[in-house]
Amino acid sequence: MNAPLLEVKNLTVRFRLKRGILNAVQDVSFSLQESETFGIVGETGCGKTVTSLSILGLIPCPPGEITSGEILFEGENLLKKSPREMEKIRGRRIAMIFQEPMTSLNPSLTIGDQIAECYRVHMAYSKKVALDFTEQMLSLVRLPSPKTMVHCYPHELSGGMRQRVMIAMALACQPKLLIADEPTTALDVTVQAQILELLKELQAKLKMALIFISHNLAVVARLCDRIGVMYAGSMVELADKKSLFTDPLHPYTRALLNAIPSPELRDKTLNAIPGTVCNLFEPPPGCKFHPRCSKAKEICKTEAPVLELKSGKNLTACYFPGA
Amino acid sequence: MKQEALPREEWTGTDKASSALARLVDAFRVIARNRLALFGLFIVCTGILTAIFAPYLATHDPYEINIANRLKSPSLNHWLGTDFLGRDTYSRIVFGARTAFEIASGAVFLGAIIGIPLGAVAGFAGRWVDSTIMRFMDAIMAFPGRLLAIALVASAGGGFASLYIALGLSAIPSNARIVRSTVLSQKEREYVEAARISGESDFHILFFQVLPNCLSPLLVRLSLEFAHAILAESSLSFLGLGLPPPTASWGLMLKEVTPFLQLQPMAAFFPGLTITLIILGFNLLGDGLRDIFDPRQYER
Amino acid sequence: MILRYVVRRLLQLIPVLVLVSLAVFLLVRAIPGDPVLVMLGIDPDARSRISEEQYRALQHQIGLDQPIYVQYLNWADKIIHGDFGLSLASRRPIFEIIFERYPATLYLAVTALLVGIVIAVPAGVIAAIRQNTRLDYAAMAFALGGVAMPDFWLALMLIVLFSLKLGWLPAIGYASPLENPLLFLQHAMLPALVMGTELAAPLTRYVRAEMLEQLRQDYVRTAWAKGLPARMVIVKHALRNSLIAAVTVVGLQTARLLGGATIIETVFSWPGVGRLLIDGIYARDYPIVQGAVLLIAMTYVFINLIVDIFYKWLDPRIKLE
Repeated sequence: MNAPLLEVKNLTVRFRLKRGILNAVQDVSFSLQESETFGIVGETGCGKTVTSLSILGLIPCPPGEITSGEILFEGENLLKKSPREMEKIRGRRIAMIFQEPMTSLNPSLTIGDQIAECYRVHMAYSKKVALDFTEQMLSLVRLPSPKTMVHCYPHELSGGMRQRVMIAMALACQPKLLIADEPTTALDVTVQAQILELLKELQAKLKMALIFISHNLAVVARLCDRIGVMYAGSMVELADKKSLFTDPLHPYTRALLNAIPSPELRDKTLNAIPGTVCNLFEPPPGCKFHPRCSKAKEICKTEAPVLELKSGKNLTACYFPGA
Repeated sequence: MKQEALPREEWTGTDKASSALARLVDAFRVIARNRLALFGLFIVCTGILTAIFAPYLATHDPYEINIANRLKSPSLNHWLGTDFLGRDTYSRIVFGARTAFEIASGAVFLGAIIGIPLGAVAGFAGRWVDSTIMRFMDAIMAFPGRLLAIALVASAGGGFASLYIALGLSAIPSNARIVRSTVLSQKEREYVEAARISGESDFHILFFQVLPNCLSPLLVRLSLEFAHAILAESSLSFLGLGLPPPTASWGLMLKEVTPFLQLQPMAAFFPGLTITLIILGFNLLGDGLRDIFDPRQYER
Repeated sequence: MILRYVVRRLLQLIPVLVLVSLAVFLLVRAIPGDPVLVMLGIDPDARSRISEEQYRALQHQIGLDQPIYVQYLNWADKIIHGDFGLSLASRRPIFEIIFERYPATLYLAVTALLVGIVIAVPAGVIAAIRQNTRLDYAAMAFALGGVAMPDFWLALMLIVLFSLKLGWLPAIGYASPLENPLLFLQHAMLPALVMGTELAAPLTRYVRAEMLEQLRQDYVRTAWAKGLPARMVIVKHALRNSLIAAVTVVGLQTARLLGGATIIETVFSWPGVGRLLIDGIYARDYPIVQGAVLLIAMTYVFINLIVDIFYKWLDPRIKLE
């Protein structure tokens, strides 16, 4: 097997806020091969966005602190890089698209300008060459009439179209890794499907690795090869798609899958997970999921389990994995 | 300088004068936590007290001329030096506070007593009454800054009365607008509808139920209007168009000392510094109040 | 679309302009004393030396024997045709005099505008990107102090420092920038500094607040994620959007400067319309006062209008609404 494209090792991120210290990400590890699609699933606040922002060095470092860990991209530790070096990586070798296409574009610049920026800054192309590439990119993401589109302003486009523009911007310089943080959550269902198709197609075409973040298991299932499940800042399960859905190991994963509504459950109550996500300022001792876990035993309340190989190639952080 | 604001919903209106007042008291408690606003309040209070107790705070008679002693630097006898006629600068500044606050109070009062009813009528009556009144307000506001005051005083002559009128007139539109916009936003509310159905007269509704909602923005405005009025009076007196000599007016003091700048710059420094501090005080106070009532509003 | 907006605003303007002209008209009529004597600048003591016939002739000459609304209409008609009357002191057409003096006011206002922007924009941006540091506090102190300082006091203090003590800059005098730019700058520096500070103080605060707001926005996060250099993110993205909002403030402040220019022009003996007004008041040359006040007010109203239209044109989102 080749060396992984991205290796996140024991990443811990916390925020010093007025209320106290927020432990956003704790000891998270995973890795990614070239051209692989990796999904990160979890509820709001589980740390998936913070993890992805850390890869790109976009965590604001007054309140934020990366207290330990390494992020190895093509062998180099991104956490040790200078701001200038990171500028060369962002948008060029690693790119990111965000959840809210409506507000993620600069309202006072044309979309042509905003996409061309990537070419002019990273590739030092001239205005004309950048424009040509921009138009090509726009047709690649299936936007109509690229030649007119470049002069449009973001507010003239629908949400779906803006997200395509975001994708065009992100992929302009053909990065090796694209991080997509809930790119379809804010879109209509029909548009969602289109964007996902587009992402899949482009990923194959550009031979790009993709980290797809979502709270929607169904969407992740369609797109990803491997999936990581996060809860309250920790990675609780890491498995390939098939095993995750046929034989989930961690109780949280099992509960999530159980909670998915389906036509067979008509007229029955939904299986919600009892309790609420723990307070990230003062997490419970031991396993953070134990207050809501039906299988919790004494050890779960005192010692936090570590993510490790349990069955086959799948990892989980639980003392009593499986059914 | 982020300020903890009272919940936005609370300020969208109430039908009880008493609870509007209660919230006002809460607001003052919040002010206490904003140090700059507190400083402003301190300055304003000092100013008011100086104005009231001027005769006790002054060291000399502010009108006592002593040519032999003119344009002296600060000394033990004359804390801030003397002016071009040998009068004690410190005492003149102290009495200047009295002058400034007198004029400013009159102007602000005039602006309020005319502006508030006008705004209420405009908002409540609507249609052509509203348009007419607002055109008049626009006409007053068409004169930039102190131009209106200058023009009015030029035609009416200087002196206390014309200053009150000139400065008061300039203060009318801002009060009217605030009241009008509050009335407009409250007009369609259920409690107004309810009161009307139960037979309350329009006047009663307006005065006791809708108007108390204006208290907060008006208070902010009041503080800033005071600052404007003091600045305007000083400016006019500086131009020789305001209060006549030998009145102890800060602006007039600056005018008198201008020919002697080379000899004694200190004589110009202190009166101007005083004006700056007083205006700063009112501004900080007004800002603090605004931070509480509507922290997202920008200075216009 | 924008044309319709312009037309609508112009129509709204007409009643205001009428009211303003009415106010200015009445202003002079309100001056205590016999209006005939006042308008012609005749000393009240000399009244006894004028016969009834002569008096009536004079009255007729300036149209004061007509009912007041006729007087107003005649006056307004003349104004529209550019006939502001004659100056009492020099017997020259007021329109000409104002026309001569206007450039000086304009040059000073433009210089002050530039000075103000050059101070405020960098200060506001730096205060925003270095929020809560000493730089930020210094900028805010400047903003607060600048607003509180009376302009005439700042003028006097600057004169003491730069003119009297250091001798670097002259306190009075004027040169046209078209004929002698360097000399113009020398003379304009102090008054422009005072007026510029008047503009810069509130503008700094505004720019800072806008920048802080913009830097929090999602599109700025996107810009960072694209790997754009910090300079580009701050200037091309955040500042650009901040300035769009700041245009209104700048416009309003400039318009205000026109009203305050009266005092600055007087202190620095700057030969502009503002000083013309004050000189006219001192000399009891009321036709001049009337003309100057009217012109300044009208200019203020029109500049406000232009700023509004410019802002609407500038923001691509509002354009289509």
